[in-house]
Amino acid sequence: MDIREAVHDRMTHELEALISSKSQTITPENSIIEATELDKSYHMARDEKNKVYLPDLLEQNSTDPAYRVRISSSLLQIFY
Amino acid sequence: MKKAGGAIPGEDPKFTDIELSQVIIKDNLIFTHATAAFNYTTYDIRRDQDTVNINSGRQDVMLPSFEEENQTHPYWYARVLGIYHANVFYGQARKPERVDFLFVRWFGRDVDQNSGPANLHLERVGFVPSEDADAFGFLDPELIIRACHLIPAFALGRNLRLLGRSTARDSLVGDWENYYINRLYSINLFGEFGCSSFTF
Repeated sequence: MDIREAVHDRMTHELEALISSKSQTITPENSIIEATELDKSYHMARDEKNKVYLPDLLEQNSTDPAYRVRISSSLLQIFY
Repeated sequence: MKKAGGAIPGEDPKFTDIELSQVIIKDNLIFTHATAAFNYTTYDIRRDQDTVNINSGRQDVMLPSFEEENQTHPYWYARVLGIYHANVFYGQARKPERVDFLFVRWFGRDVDQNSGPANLHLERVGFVPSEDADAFGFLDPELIIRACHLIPAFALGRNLRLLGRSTARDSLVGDWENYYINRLYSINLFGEFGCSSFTF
């Protein structure tokens, strides 16, 4: 009987938590897509809030093998 | 080259010193984004959108293969590790142009495995070893067709040999050895592989 009550309580808590967190889980992928957005091949945000200074980025990741790439050449390929 | 008609991934870019000196990233700043949405045409000729989020598991994308020889599979696959844009001055331009780009980790096909519809096996890919110059790279988002669903080959386990300690790893205990390309994930993806004769 105790086990049943404990399980029931836990389910109630989990359900409440799920319902209350619903509004926080809305991400852009669940939002309505504007028809004009679909004309282009991709969409990226236009804001410039999160900026990274390039030399800092390379210094912070100097030991990370993922950043030990031919950054100059392959990035320039994109820019050109 | 992008300005001259599109960057081709996998090609070794060759630039002259003059060309290199004409590209200036404004203030040496790049701007990061968490998501990028890719639009594609569905099997019933409508438009839809896939969102890649670098903070979630939805990071794998597919693009057309640029292999000219021995092309046995029509697509390339990559994991998006960063979504960025930069403002770039070209030559004497007084106004910078916004350039969007993705930082990706490339997957390579497991060519040893007999796969495909004829062999009744899903195709397999695995991360390119980090010693390879093409293990990571930058990609023009315009080249992406859509997101894709790769299933870890759980039976083959994980390994630490493809990449050292890095934020780009699958997890602290290593990368999955291989992934299966889930062409059956959605009817749209099934259509991408040329299996477009559906009946409803």
